[in-house]
Amino acid sequence: MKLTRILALLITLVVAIVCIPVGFAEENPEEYHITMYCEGRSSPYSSTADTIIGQIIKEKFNIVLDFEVMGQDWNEFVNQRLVSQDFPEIALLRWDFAGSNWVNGGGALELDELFANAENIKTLNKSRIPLWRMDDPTGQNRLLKWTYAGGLDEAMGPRNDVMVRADVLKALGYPKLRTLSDYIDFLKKAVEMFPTDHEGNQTIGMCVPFAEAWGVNLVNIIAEKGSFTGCTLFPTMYNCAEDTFVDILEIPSVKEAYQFFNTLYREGLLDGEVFTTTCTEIAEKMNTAQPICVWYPSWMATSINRNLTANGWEESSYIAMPVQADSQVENGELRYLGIWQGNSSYSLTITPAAKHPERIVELMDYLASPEGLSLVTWGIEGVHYTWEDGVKTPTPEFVEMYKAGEDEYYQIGLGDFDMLGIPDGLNPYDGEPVHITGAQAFTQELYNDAIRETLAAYGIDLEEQIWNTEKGGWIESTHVNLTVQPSAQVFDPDSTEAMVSEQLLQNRNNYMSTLITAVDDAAFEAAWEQCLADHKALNPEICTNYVLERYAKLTAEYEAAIAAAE
Amino acid sequence: MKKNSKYLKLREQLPLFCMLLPGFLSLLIFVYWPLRGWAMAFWKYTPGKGYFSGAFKGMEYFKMFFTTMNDAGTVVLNTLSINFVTIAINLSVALLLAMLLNEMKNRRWKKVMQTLSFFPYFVSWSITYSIFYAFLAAENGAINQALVSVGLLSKGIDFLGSKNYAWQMIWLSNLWHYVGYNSIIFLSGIAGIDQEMYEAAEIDGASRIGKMRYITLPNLTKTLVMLLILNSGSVFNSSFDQFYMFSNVGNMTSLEVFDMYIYRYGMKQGNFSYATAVGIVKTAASIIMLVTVNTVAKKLSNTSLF
Repeated sequence: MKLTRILALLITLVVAIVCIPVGFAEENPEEYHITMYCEGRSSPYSSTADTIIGQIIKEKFNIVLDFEVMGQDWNEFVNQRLVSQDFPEIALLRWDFAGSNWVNGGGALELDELFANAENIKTLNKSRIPLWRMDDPTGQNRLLKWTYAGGLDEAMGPRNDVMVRADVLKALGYPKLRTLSDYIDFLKKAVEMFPTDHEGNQTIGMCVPFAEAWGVNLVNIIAEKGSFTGCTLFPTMYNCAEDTFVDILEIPSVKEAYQFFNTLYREGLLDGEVFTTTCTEIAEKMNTAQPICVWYPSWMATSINRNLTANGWEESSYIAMPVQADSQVENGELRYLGIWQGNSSYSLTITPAAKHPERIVELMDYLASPEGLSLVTWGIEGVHYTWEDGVKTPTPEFVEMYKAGEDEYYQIGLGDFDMLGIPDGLNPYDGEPVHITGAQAFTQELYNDAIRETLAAYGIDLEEQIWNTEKGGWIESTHVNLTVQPSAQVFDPDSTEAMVSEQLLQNRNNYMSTLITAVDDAAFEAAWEQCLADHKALNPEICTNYVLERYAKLTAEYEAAIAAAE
Repeated sequence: MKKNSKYLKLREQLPLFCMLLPGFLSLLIFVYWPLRGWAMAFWKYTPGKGYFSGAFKGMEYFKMFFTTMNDAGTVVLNTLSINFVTIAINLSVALLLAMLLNEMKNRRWKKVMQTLSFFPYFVSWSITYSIFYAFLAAENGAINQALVSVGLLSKGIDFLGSKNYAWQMIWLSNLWHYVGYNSIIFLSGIAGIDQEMYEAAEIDGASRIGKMRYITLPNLTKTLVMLLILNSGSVFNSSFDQFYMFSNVGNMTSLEVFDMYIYRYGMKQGNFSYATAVGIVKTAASIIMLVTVNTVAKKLSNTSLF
């Protein structure tokens, strides 16, 4: 008994000695940790303090970004935080910054004063700041937000079309896939020639991540393969050729896309689990090369091809191929590539919860400087990149690290500071791509032998050249500067337009599976007519007229702002 | 004298009231106090600005649900169809299970079966969906693969992605999830039946089926009616987790129930006022349903909750 008591006392003393210093230890009072909420994160490092670039930033500014994956729907997260007034220090809002309750609910600090001495921010974003001001929902043109990932002057390459297996293209003689009809013919031959994947599973013609939160609109996105652009979660899309907005269901290619997926379904070429499959499940299938084609999430190609190569199936690597509706080709519709200047899809703001907003802006200003921008997007000169013949070039060691995709690459910390105002496109300070991964030499290095062979067979060096007839591609494209267009489609959640917009979206969603799984042409046409009838009964012109009016107003305001700035 | 006796009674029962107090306070704080948020349905609510700061809207949002939005019919139909059948299936199968468990003589096996049937109640809906996916996915589900391999099907059936099977999936998953839990209530009812009745029936030569039919079932009627009344009050409620997991673009038209609808407009679209109004409609309908069923039960079987 006495021994037990002594033992218990000893243990208590040891625990106390260990815990008390920890309990009373003070965090470095200068060190500033900011939690950054994100939808997903591929890096295993959740804090910039653990990365090379993050350490440099910490030494300079004593600021650390700690990433936290939300694990829930974005809108839900934002609304929960808004209602509870539990703001993160830096808030990321999506498409609806201007129309959301965030600003009216007190969730955004005015940045004019904070940015007063941030000369680098003002220089880098000279053409975008007027657009940011216009997103003040009160109409007072206050600076309340910034954006990231929007292109500065070079359009982002075409992306998110269709991923196709390289070995299937080879076996079928490298057809120049273009129209929806091309894909149907291609897939019919492909599944016959390749009935199983590398693990004996039955091949799937086309996989589509319809089960994703944004998946319901992957049909309507066909309009973007021509002269339209815009988020298909809204009731209208922007016609780049005619500088106007059009109701989504009035765009001919949209019906064609439904017919395309219906044909795939009837021919047994569409994934049987298409309505319950997310990108995660598709990635699992792609890892054994089960789908011949995958619609939309082409960002998965790099990691999938890496896995296929590691498994000895490099020949089945996926390569991005173009797609357009037959009517778009017949009508000679150009593929418009939008330069999202303001890129309202990624709006950030400093909230009243920020402990040191001036320090955040100080860091942002450094990141907008030539030195800072290069550091967080290219890494350290001499280690991750060098200048060769006046061209910024990733080092071979960096390329190998990226290809391996292991911890070593993520430990660099590239991309971790993007949300603090890093744009896309060309770096105005040195004329090179803003991000190291945008360098042409880098892109080409990443191609494995199967991809290189496929590109060579098509007579091009880069995938994106498919959309450039001057460089050997077979799709003609052009660019358009998108300025106020994203903001034109923003509604007050409580407004009639917002309610109608939601009903229109829901109507499209309701008919989606009916259209895609229609048993024959007659059933499809009947369902389409009913869908259109229900659509018209909801008075979509309420939304279209609102968007057109708002677009005209915002365009006039933007032009006046640019003129005043000059 | 009367006053004194009431006071004395109160004093005697004071410990009981003290035991009730935490529960009562919880109810007050977490159920009744939040009801002040119903003001959002009558005023235009902007987060961060207080319930009454916006414009007064009166019954506008309620009218919107039944007229402008045109969704009331679909939402009510889905909710009632799914839940009525759920209640019917769950209670009848749970009753059957309870009676069968009661017939098991081997106590150890009885406990094992009870535990196994109760286990799904503790499984979260996200894991439940994963289990259903593993068995019922159109291409890779075990059941579809088995049926295709033996030639019964040429192609897997999309149970989870088709609106034709959406309700059935909800009924089946609900049954799997709650059958053990519900059977416990019936088992406790069976335990309360006088054993002498069974002995008398045994002497009279009644078979097992006969005892179940003439003794067990009639004595469980009261329990069944009480459960029906209780469940009727929640017939407009749906397990949000379950519907969130099982809903997808293929079947969402069939699974748009009140809770999913309120979530869509409230948390996704940020229209809190409209979502609150729909929530109040749901609550009102539930109360009316509960009172109606209670009254009918009282008249027909003399059994009622209140």
